[in-house]
Amino acid sequence: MNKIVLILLLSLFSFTIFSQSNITIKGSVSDTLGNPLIQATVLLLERQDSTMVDYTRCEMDGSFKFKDVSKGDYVVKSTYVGFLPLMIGANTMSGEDLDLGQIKMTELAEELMTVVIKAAKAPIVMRGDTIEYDASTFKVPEGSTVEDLLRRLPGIEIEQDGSISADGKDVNKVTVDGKSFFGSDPKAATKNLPAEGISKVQVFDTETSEEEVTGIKSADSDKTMNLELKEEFKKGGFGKVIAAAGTQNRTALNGPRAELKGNFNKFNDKIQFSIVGVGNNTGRNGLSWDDYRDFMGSQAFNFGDDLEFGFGGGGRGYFTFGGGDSGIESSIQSLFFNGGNSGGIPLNYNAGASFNYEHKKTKFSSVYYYNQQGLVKETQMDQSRFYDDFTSVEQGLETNDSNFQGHRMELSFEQEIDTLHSFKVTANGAFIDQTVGQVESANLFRNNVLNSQSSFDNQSDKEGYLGNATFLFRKKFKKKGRRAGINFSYLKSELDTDENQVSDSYFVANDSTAIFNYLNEDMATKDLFKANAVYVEPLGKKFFWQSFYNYSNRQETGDRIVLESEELDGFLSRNFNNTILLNRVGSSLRYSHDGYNLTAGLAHQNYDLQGDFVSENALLKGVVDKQFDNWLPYFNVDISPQRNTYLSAGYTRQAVEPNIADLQPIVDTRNPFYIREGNLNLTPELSNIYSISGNHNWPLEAIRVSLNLSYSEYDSQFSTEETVDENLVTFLRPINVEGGEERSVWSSFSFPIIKNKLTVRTNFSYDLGKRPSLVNKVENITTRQTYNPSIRVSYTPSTEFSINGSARLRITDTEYDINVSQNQRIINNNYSLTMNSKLFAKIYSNASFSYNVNVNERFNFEENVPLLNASLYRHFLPDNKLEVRVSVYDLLGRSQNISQSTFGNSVFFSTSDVIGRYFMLSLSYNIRGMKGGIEKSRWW
Amino acid sequence: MKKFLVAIIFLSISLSTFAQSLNGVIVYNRKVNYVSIMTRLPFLTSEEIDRVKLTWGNNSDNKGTNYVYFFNEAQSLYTQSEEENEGGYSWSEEKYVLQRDHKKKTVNDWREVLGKRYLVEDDLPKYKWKILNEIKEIEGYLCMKAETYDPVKDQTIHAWFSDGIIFSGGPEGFAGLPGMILELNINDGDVVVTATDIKLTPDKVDIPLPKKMKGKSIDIQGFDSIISMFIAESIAAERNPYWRIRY
Repeated sequence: MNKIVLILLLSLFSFTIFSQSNITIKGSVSDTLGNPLIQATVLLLERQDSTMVDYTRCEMDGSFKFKDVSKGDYVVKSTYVGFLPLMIGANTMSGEDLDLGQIKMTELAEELMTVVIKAAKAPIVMRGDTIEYDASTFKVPEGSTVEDLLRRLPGIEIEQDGSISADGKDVNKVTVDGKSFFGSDPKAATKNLPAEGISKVQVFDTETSEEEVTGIKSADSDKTMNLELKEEFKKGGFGKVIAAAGTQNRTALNGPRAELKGNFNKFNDKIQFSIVGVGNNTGRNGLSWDDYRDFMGSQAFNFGDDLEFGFGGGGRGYFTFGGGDSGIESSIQSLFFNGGNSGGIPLNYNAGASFNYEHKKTKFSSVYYYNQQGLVKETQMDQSRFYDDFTSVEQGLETNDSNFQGHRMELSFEQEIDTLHSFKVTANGAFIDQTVGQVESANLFRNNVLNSQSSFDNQSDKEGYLGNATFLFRKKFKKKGRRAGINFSYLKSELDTDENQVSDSYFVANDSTAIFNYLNEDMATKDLFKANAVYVEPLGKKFFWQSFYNYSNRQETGDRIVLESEELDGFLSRNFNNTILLNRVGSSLRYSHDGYNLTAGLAHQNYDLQGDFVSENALLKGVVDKQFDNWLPYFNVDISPQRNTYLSAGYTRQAVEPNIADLQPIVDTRNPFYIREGNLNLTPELSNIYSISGNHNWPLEAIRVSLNLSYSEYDSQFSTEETVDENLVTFLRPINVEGGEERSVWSSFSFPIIKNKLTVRTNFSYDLGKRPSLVNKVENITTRQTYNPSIRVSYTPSTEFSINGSARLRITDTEYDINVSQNQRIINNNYSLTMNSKLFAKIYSNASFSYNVNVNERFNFEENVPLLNASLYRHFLPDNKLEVRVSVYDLLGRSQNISQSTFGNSVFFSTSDVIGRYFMLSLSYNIRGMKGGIEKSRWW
Repeated sequence: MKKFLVAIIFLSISLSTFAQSLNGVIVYNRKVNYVSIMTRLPFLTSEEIDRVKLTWGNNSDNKGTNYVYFFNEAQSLYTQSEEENEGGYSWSEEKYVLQRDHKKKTVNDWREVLGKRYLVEDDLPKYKWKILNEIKEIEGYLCMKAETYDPVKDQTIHAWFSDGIIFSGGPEGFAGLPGMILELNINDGDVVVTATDIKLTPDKVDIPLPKKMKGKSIDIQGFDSIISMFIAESIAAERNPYWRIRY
């Protein structure tokens, strides 16, 4: 808009002026010998700001002419290949025609041409008669000093003793960024400074103090050299510390609340270093996605290589964030976010250090992370199980005291050998130590009649280590689109578990008591070797033929010693040795052009499962030897006709091999109420998975819609056969079942009511899961349907106030065809309101209220939990570096941790204790300052 | 030096034989430095800017995308080069066809912005160029530096043009200098478009017009106002507008 007006005005303006003026500027261009430079370009510029008014080219005799020039102060600039551009003034204020006569251009010095322009590709700048150029474009070997760089510059001589001369004159002074460097010896700077850090070398006449005063320069003065340092763009660093102390809650167990968190980070274009540390007993991990990025640096978005090559082809990948389990094969990334609070009184420590090095074609990264999670938790549990002619109810109180410690190290080295070849090596290691103490007392009812009473006391200590190394090699061929990849990985882990299980059960029916005291010593090892290869051959420009091979060899050994009341139990003590061998080979054809990607492929896989097991008393002994062969077809269509539209549809068949432990026909009687046995006839789980997804957005209107549908049907699904005796002792056996299915819908729609101020996002999801099982020889199909609508409204009228409201409903209907009278609906709804506002005198407030509704009408269960958190804060110091915050958590003191869920033929409720109400004062210091005002919500 | 001699000889031949009919095909490589663009966003704190540099700083050395500029004495066309897709996956490409008639002095572009396609029809825009005192060589051609400003995206554009190619054209729609623009540098390296292959010929180059150009008719002013509005709204909402529009 502005531009057009400007152009219009300009052209109008120039038109009026031109129409009134008819001044002619003429002249001719020649070389120093007077030979005309035919076709030399001549530009007419305004003297004030060099704006181009007109241009022309010289005639055969070297002459040029600008006609209809208006009155003004101009410069005429002539250029010709191989000559220095030349400017001369042309003032037409007098209104008369102007003849500039013969303009003589000088040839570019050959040294300047060959050394500066051609070899170094450096732009040269003309200032009057002097010429400057960028010294940083001169290539010198790594580790060179400024002296080495100067040797390459035209016009500069370096003597044996290191003294410098420029254009034949001595350089008696060297400055760095205009400042003197190490006194007056010019050699000190040039011999010591690395050439890499220099952006410009400027040489000018040294002004003596007399000249400075008089302003008159003597002709034969010495030279000063100024070295300008490179401004490092990729340099930086930040850090912050948060310390907080809170009050002690009357009901809470372990003292007042406290939190300490800090991180620090420093980087330049080659090296990134960071540390992070957190300690708290508030249950909030306190580490955000930003903290993760600050910690990992350039590795933050490196989610590990997909080593298992398959049908996919450089398409869209998935990012998964969030906490994972803290098991031994977990990664630093998933531990970093591991801070979910599900009740109890937590005590957590995390600390890590990360170092990355990246230079040209080499990348190295190393991360160390330590985490410790402690939790003391008391849980009330209530579990009902439905059978065709009766219902069992178990009510228990469990006290849990656990502590987990882990050390982890991840190293990676990546090298680009040339444009076609690269490799990557990684090595990870982990040590973990976990102690769990679990005390439970439970009553078991059969149709509301007390059946048994029992108490359990389990103490376990698990220690283990893991080592994992991978090697990945990628190759591209000269033929575009042809590429290959190969990788190997080896993983070894060992877990030692010592467990003491004491149980005391009283059975009402026959007035009997069963007491067990087991001492288990378990040692489990795993050796996993994998090798994968992929090859892609382009067929024309739009078709690709991709083939892959996956090999995996997993060896697991287990050595278990069970002592019953300090005597070796020869039946439960046993050894096993399993080998699972996978060979998968597949091939696919892909059409890929103009946003359309279609793939069809087929793979064949073979699982070879071999195992042997023997009990200590050798009464139990056997082998498992199974082979499974499966064909796996694959179809996928990805279409993106326009950048804001994406559609995808796919079909794939999946085969999952059974766990060897489930194949071994061994009875595990350690828990007297749940006795497990393996099944030698178990076959792989086979499913057909169909999916469709699409999204479209209107960026200008800020509207976005998306829809995802998926459907899986099982030809064969892992399930259980469950038999319950009159004492409510359950016997479990893994089996394969047919007829299971899963359906899911996920959709979202977001739109603004007032753009940038009032926005709405709605979501709807629906899941159906149908899973058959055998309960007391009767087939039961449990169908669970979950409806999950939600809406979120965000209102940000100014930079000083914002409010967000949301409602998330979750309705779960469970149908048990074995006992339809037990069909039930569980409701877990959440309503929340968050408000941020500026109050007065730079004080801001933040309040959030949430209301959880938990209902199960069949059990007359209804528990509503309100939670109110609020804080006041103020920023201090320049750039808001310091923040002082007063907060209150759970102001209403009515918080509890409630969970309700259904699985198989059962429904489960639990309530556990929480920290409760506390106040907290926190101080945060951020060396780079914090954002003032209200945070904008950046979601769509 | 040899290249220069060739250029000079070539130039003198061109003078005598086909001074008035210069045709050619120039391949440009366009590199976008998203880190540099992000660090200019006015709503980011200094910590957030450092975080961008930390995470993505080393990823800015990308290969760029290739564009082709076809020109004959009457017309020119600038669009993405049809590359063989190496990754085996094809992403949808934004329509970007800049077609100019240098005799009729008209613009007839096919552009896609924010999910909509437009036919931009207007008179050739005039740029106000300042000529600077710098020279450098690009692909054997000695170039001079010129500067202009685009108020729509608040960009200072430096163009390196060579009077060794007597055609007043260039990439990304920029033109109007006494020679071909062989390099563009937008906002000090945010985007750099450099000629990597220059083929000149006296034979007529056919302009490869797309078979069907469908879109809503619009003039330059209308098109620019869509972009200006989106940039202003995105900045107000603290979002980076350049994830969705071409910088």
